Amino acid sequence: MGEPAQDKARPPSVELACEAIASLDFCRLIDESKADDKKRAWTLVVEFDVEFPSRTELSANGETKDGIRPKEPVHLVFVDTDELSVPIPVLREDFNPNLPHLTVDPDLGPIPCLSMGSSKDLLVYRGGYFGFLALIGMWLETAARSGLVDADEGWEPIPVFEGDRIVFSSGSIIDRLERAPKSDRVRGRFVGKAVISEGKRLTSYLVLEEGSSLEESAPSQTAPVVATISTPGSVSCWRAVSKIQSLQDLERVIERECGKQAKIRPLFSEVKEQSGKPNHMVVLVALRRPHKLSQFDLDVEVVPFVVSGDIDNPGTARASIMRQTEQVSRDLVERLSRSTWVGAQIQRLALIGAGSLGGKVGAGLSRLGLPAMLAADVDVFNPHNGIRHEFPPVMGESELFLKSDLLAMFCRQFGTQAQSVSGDGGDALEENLKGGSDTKIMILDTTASPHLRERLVRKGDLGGRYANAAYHHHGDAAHLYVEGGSRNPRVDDLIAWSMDRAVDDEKLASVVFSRDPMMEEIAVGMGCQSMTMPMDDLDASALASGISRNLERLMKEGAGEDGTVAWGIKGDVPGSWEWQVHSVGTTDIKERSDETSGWEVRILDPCCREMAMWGDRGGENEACGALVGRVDRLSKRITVTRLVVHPDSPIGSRTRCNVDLPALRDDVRQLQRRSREALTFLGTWHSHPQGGRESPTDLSTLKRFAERMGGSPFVMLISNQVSGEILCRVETPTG
Amino acid sequence: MTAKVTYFPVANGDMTLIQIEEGTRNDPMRKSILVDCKLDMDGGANCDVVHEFRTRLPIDEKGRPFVDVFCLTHPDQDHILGFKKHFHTGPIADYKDENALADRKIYIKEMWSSPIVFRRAKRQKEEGESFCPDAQAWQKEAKRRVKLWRQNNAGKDEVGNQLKLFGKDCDNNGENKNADLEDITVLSGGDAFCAMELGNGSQVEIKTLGPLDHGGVDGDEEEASLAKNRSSIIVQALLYKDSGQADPVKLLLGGDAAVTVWEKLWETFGDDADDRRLEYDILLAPHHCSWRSLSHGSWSDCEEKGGESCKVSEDAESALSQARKGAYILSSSWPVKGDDGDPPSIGAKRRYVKIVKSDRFLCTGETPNEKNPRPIEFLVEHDGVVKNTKAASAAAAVSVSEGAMSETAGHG
Repeated sequence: MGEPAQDKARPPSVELACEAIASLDFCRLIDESKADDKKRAWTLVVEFDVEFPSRTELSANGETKDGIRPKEPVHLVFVDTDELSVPIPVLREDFNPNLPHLTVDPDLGPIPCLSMGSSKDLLVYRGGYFGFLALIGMWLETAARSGLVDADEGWEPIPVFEGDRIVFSSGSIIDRLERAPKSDRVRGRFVGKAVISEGKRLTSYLVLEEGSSLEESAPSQTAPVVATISTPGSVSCWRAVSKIQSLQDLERVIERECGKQAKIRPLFSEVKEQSGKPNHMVVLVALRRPHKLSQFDLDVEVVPFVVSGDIDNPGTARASIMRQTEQVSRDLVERLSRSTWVGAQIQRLALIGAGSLGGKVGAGLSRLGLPAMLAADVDVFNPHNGIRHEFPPVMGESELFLKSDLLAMFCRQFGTQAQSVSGDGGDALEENLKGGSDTKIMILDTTASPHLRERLVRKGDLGGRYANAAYHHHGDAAHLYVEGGSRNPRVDDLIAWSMDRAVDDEKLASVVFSRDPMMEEIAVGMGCQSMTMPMDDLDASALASGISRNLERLMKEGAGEDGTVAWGIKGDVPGSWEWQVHSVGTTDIKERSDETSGWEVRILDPCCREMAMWGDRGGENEACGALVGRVDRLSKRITVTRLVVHPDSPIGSRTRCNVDLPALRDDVRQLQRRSREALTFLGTWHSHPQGGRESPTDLSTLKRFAERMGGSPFVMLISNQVSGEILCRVETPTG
Repeated sequence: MTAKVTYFPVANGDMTLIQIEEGTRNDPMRKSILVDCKLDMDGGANCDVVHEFRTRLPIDEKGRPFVDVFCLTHPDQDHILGFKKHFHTGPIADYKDENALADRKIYIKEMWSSPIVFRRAKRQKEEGESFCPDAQAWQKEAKRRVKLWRQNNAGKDEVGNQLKLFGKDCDNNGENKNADLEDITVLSGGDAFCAMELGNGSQVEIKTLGPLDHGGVDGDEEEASLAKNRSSIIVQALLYKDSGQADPVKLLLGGDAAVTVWEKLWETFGDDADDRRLEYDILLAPHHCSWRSLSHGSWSDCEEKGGESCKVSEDAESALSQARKGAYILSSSWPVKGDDGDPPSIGAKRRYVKIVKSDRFLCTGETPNEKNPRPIEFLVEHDGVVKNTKAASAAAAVSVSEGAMSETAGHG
């Protein structure tokens, strides 16, 4: 130990730790010393009570078989002493070094592994020093019952951010701001940016990590815009890539993002006006994640914090992550976005799944004034997913709440008549949606629970307009499929349509067809019924925001009879997103019959149109070509997605049109290849300018070709130019 | 997998929750037994017991909170307070509660009730005096379920209608009023039964000690004596964390049973070396650490006059002394003060501290401190119970942290 500390005023971090120790019953301060070397700026020796199972056999010297004692001294070694400093917990020198989840520092001694990532974040996210001390105690007790390695209940270090760059109290922010040189050329590491409103004057600051420096005076320091309200109403979080090293880099990202997704507004004066509080500050803090949740290197995100209260008096100011928009009322959002639901065609949203996607979409639309919502989810909320779900901070008990309950609670704050149909959500939601009479409801299915989807969606007797949305590829993309009127086109059609579209769209293909070997799906939720994927929460936010925007438009303007396909894909510029939205018309459905050999055949609208078009062009002559699409053997369903025609001309004679398959073979094979074999050759089509059903030639062709399909069904479509109908025959070789 | 028992700080009153569980709150692998409740405090205790209790409860597939079993040891208000407000009564089909989860009624899959305990409690009341409204609501619900059994209704075995009756319901003439309900009657000293279990061997087994039957020719006299002595359901609960648990954790719960009851229990079960029904890892000190559970005298008389009132019944004390190695004794009461108050009685505490070490005597009103009492939670381990204090501290700390909801992780 170094010199006794009695005569020295405790630094802030030590003082905070001592306050926590004094208020906890299971530990007490037994010694304290000031720096003795560079590695120990200050040391507190804290004795922890370690609870053993009541009948534990202790050795003669009162230790468990692994050498844990009922009272364990732990040295809290403060390497640094500012307010952000977290001590290193060091166990006694003779502590059993062979235990798992323990590292032995050659200079300090045995150190329990409390977290993955910086222990500094434990202070921020695990309840300050109280949680930090409790965690040390829990580690000791887990060790005492030999439970550090146990398949069911073993110790798991808490995953946290790397906290070197985190700012968690207004006092320290201001302290850093005051120390930051007035310059904008950064030499050092970017921490964040702060804007402080003082009356009408907005001053922006750059927050730097200790030791950073700036070289020039900063004209940009008067920049008034830092945060924005994005269209679905949530405060945008911007992905910051690791190359952001200066204020300009950050501002470029913000501008880019705002230009794409948001309206640039001077938020702070609005916030002040709403809250009537004297001062507010928004700090954008770059957080580096401990683990790369995706396989990419982009592991830094920027999260806006709001510091409210009197910032001249750090003791009373509060800092909180702005995602909850506690300071942003519905009125404010409406004024900024000019959003109104008066006269909206669809005023109710039913969410099947209130997780990372459904929760965000529900919350976003609610902030924009969505009048009514039903939410169903099978799962309970887990607080470590706070940001991802955007649920309100229902302190203490939120971890045991159903997600749908939390979402409904949150949305009610914004005036949405939100109802949670929790539990498995099945019965209650079914009651609300069944019958098909209520078309004034948008049903958004975001659930990853096949069980719930099976119950609700496959039945096909739901009222309202059904939509399906999901993230893809670790949050690189997302889709929104909104079915057409009377469930036509259906989601299956829209999936097939997307596949077909992706054949000619490299970017879309990269998410629609790609099977990334790194992709991991994780079973979560009750009974592990749901699947999800690791992804960056900022990507999730941006994608959910896009889905909200599209839904908002469809609900307000009316979804029409067509289906809608919307894909959001990560842009080439980091932090940007590209959305493509398409309408898809009605699918021509050929029900299962003898003529289709029991197959259901779905001919997508573009194919129907193209067939009619070639028929018209052919005039009195027949037109013909090949068919490409999907074959789903499990459900015995064929979806025709594309016509392939001869490059010279698909037009034949009045009575005959030969489909020159050898000539088309290369085109078809290329399509198959480009679709990663998702699409395949299905058969042929031709027109009957004079009307009429299949000719004997057609039937013999059908049989002949079916024999060559290697067991796959052969489809023949005939466009009756007189009646406008499409006739369908499917032949499957009996052998 | 966790097996745990929680004692809530309800001042002078009892409320114990036994749980075996796995997974999240709406995981079907969660089961719970509630023994007594006191959900509306009589002031003073600085703990939101309703919140603490409700957040521990499992919820079913329809989002309804429930307990698998609710055992009412006896119908005193400090053991049933808040029942009407917080629990669903009537057929489960009538459950229509669209409140937020925090306010939804809790339904009871199976009730454990004792008509004879009610009968004896009634006998102690003044003419015209009735049970508290919560006890009346309990009684009405129990009678509804009994009726289904008597009518052999097809729904009698359904969740929400299930029932166990503890002890024979003998009137003053010794006639068992519930002779036709043998199938659902649990007799003191009878075989142990499994109250709940999960697939991996985690289970709670119950051995019944009370209510005591009155005996033989002196039935009426003995019945009067038992009535005076705060008749209660008394059980030894055996908790198995999993199939690897060779020696279960034993809880002894005795409601408000007074000295005579414990004497009789010692007489009946004291020499049973095999069954050891009085043995415990945790004893809930009867009647909130009352002197009257150990002595025929009153504690105030003992303090003032000494003599007989200070005399402890050897048999009663023996019955309550069957502590296993490292056992705890809990007083579910206000803090135990060094005065002539009773319950809790400092005299009783001193006797209990002789049985277990002083650090093993805990008072719900004093843990972790008098100012901010919190539920005392014990986890079941293969070699006994362990107090789960630090997890609670961490949870409490996180719940007040501004960043509590801010952590992100890789799934969801």
